[in-house]
Amino acid sequence: MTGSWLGRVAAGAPAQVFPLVGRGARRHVRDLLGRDEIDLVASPRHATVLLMAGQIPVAWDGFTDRVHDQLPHPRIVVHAPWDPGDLVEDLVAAHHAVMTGTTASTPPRGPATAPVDWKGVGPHGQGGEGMMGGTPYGRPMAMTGEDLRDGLQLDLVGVRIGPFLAWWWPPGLLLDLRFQGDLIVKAEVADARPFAQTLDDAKHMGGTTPPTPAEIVTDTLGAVGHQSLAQRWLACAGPAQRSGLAGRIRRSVAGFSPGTGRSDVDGRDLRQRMTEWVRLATIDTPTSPSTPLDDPPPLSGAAAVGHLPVLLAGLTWREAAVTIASLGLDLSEPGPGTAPDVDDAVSATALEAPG
Amino acid sequence: MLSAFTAMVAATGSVVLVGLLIQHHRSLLSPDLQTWSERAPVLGGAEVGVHAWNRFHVRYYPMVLVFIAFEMEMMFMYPWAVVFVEEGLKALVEMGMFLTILSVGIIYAWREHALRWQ
Amino acid sequence: MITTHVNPLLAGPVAVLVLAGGAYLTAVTAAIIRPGIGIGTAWRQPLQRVAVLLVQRPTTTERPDGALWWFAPAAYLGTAALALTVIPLGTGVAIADVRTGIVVFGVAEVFAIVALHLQAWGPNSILPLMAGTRYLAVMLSYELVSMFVLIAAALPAESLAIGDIVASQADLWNVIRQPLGLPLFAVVAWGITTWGPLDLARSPDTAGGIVAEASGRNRLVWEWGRHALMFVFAAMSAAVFLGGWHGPFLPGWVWLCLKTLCVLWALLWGADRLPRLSTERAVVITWTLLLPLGFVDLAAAGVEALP
Repeated sequence: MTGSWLGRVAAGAPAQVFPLVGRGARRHVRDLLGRDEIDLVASPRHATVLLMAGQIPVAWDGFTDRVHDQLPHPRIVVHAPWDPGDLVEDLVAAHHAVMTGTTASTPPRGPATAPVDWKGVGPHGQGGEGMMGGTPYGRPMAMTGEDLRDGLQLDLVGVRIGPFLAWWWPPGLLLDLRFQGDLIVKAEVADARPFAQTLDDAKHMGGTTPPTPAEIVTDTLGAVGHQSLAQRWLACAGPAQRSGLAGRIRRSVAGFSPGTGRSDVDGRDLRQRMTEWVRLATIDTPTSPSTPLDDPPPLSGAAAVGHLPVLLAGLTWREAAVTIASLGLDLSEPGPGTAPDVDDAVSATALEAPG
Repeated sequence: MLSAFTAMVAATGSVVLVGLLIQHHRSLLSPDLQTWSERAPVLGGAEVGVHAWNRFHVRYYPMVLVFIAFEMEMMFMYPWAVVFVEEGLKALVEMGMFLTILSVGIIYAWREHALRWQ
Repeated sequence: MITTHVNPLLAGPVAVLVLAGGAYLTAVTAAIIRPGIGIGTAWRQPLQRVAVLLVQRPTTTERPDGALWWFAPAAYLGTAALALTVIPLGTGVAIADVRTGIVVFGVAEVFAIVALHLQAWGPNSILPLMAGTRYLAVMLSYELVSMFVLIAAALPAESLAIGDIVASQADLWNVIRQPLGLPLFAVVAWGITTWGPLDLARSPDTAGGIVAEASGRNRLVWEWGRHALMFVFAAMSAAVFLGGWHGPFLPGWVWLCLKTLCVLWALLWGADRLPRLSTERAVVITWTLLLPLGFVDLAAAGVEALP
């Protein structure tokens, strides 16, 4: 059968994996970057395998279901809530199974039809009233609002960008943004509960620390789009090898204008923050006697979450995403405004036995 | 010449046709093949709010004006390139003057920060 | 001077085959350049990825602009075909070497820009739309650089036909007498195919940019178009800057292949190494550095071409 012949050829390709990063899994997902048998794809619509790594709380089921349904058929889910073990082998085997048709594609998890009729008449699905204030086809069109930079009144688009944007995105960070064009006019952290990556409960995966400067550099390179450089950086065994790449990494962020993402807390912009992270990653000890100790450490962690609305307003989206990646928002404690927890009830789907 | 243009149209048309035939037209996808939840736009898992189509603030409109000036200059450069060697130094000087005048436009745009989106 | 034209009846199949082979060659070269991939896997991987895209079902979004979104990848691929028709395929052979070959190539570039924006607009999704519309600024900027560089190459040939430009390089290649031409043209190549430093239309902050919503066969055609365009730009560089079919001992088409391969390698290697720019930086650099270099290139070519 030609179908299965094509499937067998497709099964030989690198596994197209879109990772959903849960609690305690970020390091393992980052390590997948260097493997040739795996492609960490940018969009769920490019993926064949959905990786649910780490523990993802019940409260986030809506988001994971949405991402799951965006994968095209044939698709398969790989769960790795606990110790990942042979994660790469599992992913490759899953890709192989779903491409050859050995395993059936997973059914959609969300509602099959829209809750609001497209052309219905009623409080939510009016349709056909036109651009100014109506809701054609059940969804409102963007209305005008003043721009930050030149005062022109064009459309203000309200967008939520979600907890699982990419492998380098801080897991669980949900942003409420208002765009004009691609400029962020207003940014809010919709849900200030980024997943804690430090687990003090012994039954979960072994205690992890906040991301190291080297890992933050990897994330930022992933956000910039320089995946091959991120892979080379990741493959460096130690600080000595990293200093060889330091110059290229600094040049890689030189593509951004100076002053991008400047924060008042530590006085650094994106490029200076990256230079500092690279410097910290290339010295043997976190503080060396030769560095001035009154130099404030780069902005990161819990303080950064509260600072995000001020930091992101006025940036274009790409600058904002790279700035977020450079902040190292893996928190050891939940951010301000966190609801007490919910997080202990781990998602039922995440608890299924892997494989 | 006619056969050349015919070949051009034939080549381009065939390739576009092949591209169209390989793809699936979205409206041909029957609604049963994709549920509503599978059609959600990619936003990292968040739910969608407004239509994406909006009056996108194109901040680089001053730059586009300078671009149009250069495009018009390009139209003159095409025949100029063909007769250049015949005309000699005079042609070089004339085009040089044209380009210099337009370059003043670039310098002005740069200093007025038209190239930055501010 | 182009004397042989491909039969119009064969033009279609020839274009499809050359673009398919060229896209495959680009994919293999890109795979080899990435660290850790050996030549053994590099031959197989592009075919395996094509198979994955053929097995995957194409997806759609809530309320897309169906016709435009269907047309966009085919249009992107079609511009590669349009550009290919004016490029020599062997000694004195082309599909349609018209007197205004460079103009046709410029038209193909412009239509590629339009196709990229259609791909951004079609799915009615904010991330692709942002990625595509912000990229327009960069695309318009390097379009000018491309025009200057090609016109400079046309000066010694006294003609806009690419066959004549190749003929004018019989004694000296353009890469030597117009050294700025090829690097500037490389920037244009990266831009039109969103590869390397100008990979802004597919950037990760927009979850893959203008192809974020595309999957399956639809994405396959778009990727085919992208790889084919990279190949076409390499072939154009070989013809316009590296002397085309001129060379000792070997037949013309072999030289064309070798030169195309060299440029392809250089383009993909540069794309892997250079830093990614932001849109603002790319626009500023193009207008204040690359365009003046284009003027210098044109002036030098003009002075050199005068008898």
